[in-house]
Amino acid sequence: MSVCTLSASSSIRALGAIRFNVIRPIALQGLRTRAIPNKSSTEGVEGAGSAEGAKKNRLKMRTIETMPFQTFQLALDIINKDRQEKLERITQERETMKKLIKHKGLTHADRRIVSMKQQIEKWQLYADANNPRVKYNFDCGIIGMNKPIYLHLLNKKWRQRNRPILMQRLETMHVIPDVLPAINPIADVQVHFKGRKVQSGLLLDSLMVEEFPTVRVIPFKNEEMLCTIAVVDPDVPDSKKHGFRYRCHWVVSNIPISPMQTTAVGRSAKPADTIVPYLPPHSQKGAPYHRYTMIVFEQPERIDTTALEGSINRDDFTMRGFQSKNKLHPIGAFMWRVEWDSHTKEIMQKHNLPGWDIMYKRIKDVVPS
Amino acid sequence: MAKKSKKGAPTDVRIKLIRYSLHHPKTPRPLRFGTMRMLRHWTIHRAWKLYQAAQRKEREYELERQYNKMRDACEELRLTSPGLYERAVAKSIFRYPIVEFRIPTDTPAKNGWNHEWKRG
Repeated sequence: MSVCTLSASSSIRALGAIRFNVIRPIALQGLRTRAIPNKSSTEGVEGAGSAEGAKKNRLKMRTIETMPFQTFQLALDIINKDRQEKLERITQERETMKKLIKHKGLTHADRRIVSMKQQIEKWQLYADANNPRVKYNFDCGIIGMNKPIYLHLLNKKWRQRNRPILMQRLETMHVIPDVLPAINPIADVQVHFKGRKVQSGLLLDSLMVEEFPTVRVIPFKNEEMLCTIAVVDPDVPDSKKHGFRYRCHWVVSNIPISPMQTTAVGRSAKPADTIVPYLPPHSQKGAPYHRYTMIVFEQPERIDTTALEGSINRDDFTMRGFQSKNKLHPIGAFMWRVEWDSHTKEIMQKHNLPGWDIMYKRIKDVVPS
Repeated sequence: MAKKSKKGAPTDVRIKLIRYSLHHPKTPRPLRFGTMRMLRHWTIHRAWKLYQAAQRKEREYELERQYNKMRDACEELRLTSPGLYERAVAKSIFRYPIVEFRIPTDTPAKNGWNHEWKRG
């Protein structure tokens, strides 16, 4: 079968030139379910030589769509038909939407129009959901982040495993009432310390967390937004009040985030404003482990950093206050823990942090009642 | 936790039984497909689901159409002759309590127990 589909190829053939075979790449070809239909009619008319035909057969590529299995091909036909139906429905819906806007004077903020748009998005997802090429690409990790179907699949995968784990860690370690009253993560936050990916809630070495991490935020909505990342430690021992207080470790604002720009902090990140520079996590001797909580907020608009820089005091910081003052909305969270270990003293001395020679003891242990 | 023997195999009877039945030669091996075979399997499964959904939808439409026709016919009858309509729609006042409430099944039999039966 000839793979040539160009009209120019026939004239080349007439002149007696060598026939070119276009080899299709196997990699991502948009969201087509079927390969380009081969024009076998030219073959019949021209009547190519057998030697040439054998050569062509050798060069033929087999793609996902051209696997020679009857049931599979029939299944592909059904899926294709369904896809066409959905695309037709989408075009019809778009037309009615246009008519409504034109003749009935509805705006894009109108409830009916918004629901129609949502419906269209849903159908677009359904049209591609059964595509074996999409499934193959997703499983192989060839993901076009601007395509809604891949975002949808990523979201589904994250919600199946990683999000429940994160929520469990946040709840069992009481981060949720201690730092913020409630968090409903809708974006995946991935943190790399010294180039190594870290699971949420782990007890990390203080040498590993000495420098600020690379943060990836994957929002599953296909739109651009500005983010703020804040790290707070709710477990700083306070001997005066016989309890614990908060300490702010890091605040970065105005980070542009979109599915195509997932790196929030790191080498390939866009410039952002560091409001509070990173303070290496350190927990003093004898104190229980510290829970370092990173919250990713969505900003309603650009934050004026000059006004904010002076107003934040590291030792007098609460996440709730910060959130309410700047009208932020939490979209993602991450946490890790740090204990006093063999490197903490060295790090505290290196960064001029006081208290490396202090050891805490519980009152109960010192003065038995 | 089940007790562990020196070799590390669990001694719990339930686990032993599960392992026995899983590794029994009569138990079919688990389906192991290659990537492309799995993909084909997945595609065919998806297409089958689509086909079933289409069928279901069609059946529902059919039922709806039938119901609408019946309702229209009744309405027509009511307009033409109210007496006939009432007779057609009326339910009998007397209802057989258990016979009408029960879902029809094959068992138990209508006659119930055969008391006359004796061993031959």
